[in-house]
Amino acid sequence: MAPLSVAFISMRMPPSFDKKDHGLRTLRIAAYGGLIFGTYSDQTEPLEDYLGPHSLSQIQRLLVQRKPKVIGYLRQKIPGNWKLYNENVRDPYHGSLLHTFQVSFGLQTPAMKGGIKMDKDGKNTWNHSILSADDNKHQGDLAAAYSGTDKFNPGLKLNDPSLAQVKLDLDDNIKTTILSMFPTLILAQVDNTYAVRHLRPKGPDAVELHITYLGFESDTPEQLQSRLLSVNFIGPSGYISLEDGEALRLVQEGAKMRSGDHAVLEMGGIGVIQDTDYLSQEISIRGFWRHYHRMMAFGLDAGINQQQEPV
Amino acid sequence: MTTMTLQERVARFYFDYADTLNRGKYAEWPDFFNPDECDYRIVSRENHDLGLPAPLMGCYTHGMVKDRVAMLIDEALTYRHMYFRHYITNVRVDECPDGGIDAGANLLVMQCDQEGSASTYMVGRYEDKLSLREDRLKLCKRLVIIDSFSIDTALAVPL
Repeated sequence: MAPLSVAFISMRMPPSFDKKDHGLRTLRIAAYGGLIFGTYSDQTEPLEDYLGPHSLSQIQRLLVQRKPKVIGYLRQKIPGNWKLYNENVRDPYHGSLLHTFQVSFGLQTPAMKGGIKMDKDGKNTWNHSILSADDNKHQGDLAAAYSGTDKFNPGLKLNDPSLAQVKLDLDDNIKTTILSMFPTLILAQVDNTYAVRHLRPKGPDAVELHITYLGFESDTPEQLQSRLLSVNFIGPSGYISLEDGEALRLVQEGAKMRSGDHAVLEMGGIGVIQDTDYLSQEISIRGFWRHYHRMMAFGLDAGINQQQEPV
Repeated sequence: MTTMTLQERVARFYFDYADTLNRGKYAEWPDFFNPDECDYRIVSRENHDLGLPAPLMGCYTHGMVKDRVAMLIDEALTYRHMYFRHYITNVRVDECPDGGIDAGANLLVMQCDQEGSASTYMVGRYEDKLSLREDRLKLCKRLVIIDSFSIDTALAVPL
């Protein structure tokens, strides 16, 4: 097949036509910790300022201190808007309301230590839970707290318990890390699973998740095998993650019926947008939306929370 | 009933397997696997062709196969309930010198939602090793290789 450039020359373009004026749009790029970021904007600040200190330290922790190695890709099409996925990864409490597996096996419960740390704009969030000595005691208290719901099932037992007996391979006791970088990048650690999740919006009603699942070059065969087991937590067939696709689908079904309208469900959703050291809050979701509104230059709705905080 | 050839027996085994899943009889699904030697993986065509080891779903013991359906049986998972229909074709069966059986088939799974709308859910193939003991076929290894690896919403029910 003849190269495209030959076709252009043979088309006898007018003298004023210069191929140099018709190239692809140039993307500004910058890299950190092996992640490559791009923007079409000349206004975007330097990458490290854009990401903020918590993103940088978590990228160092997850991708730099050991040399990562791709062990597989996972892809999932979710019939929900890409911003709903951004809410999903920023709120630190839905896991304990939605994911029976996560609660029943103590992977993440509302009583655990942890919290959210944001960048200066509130757009990027490090959402994390930390193991502590009190977890076993708190796990015992959950039965009462969850009575009347079907989301805590202490009777749930594994025929092969190896999946739930994971010993963390970093010795910092951080059980889960969801680092969300505005607008479409997530770096996630759930137990010993490490993954980059990249969102590809597919119109207003769908988003495709491209997940790059990581091991490390220093992994022993046993560590690799344990990652091939732990993958059952994450991705489109993960005991935890598969439920998120369904949750987004349901919210989207409800939201798209109300075109031109808006609905906000708040859990004490007023006040200053700031870091916390507890999990039952949704402050970083508001951080996301505040930044989105600023970027899109949307006017503020007169009714919403203006007395408390200029959002 | 006339005696079935091995080819016919494996094909019937595949159809029974599909029927069990399609009817939602998840508690019976582990019975298709050999309790002593058991490996069930769903992998994407993308990873398989690149030689990348991570599966979408990986059960490496019979206990893990049971666990894969335990939460479906308990209705402890939140996922979209669809009607599934497996179409299994091109069944190929080879006897190995060691007495084992290598087999494979093409797989198409259609899904129907609660409104009655149908769509293609999965396109792929099975690559299996089976044992024949006490006149019963069991899966020692089932590798499900998915060509349609961008999964629609979720993969909760095994293939």
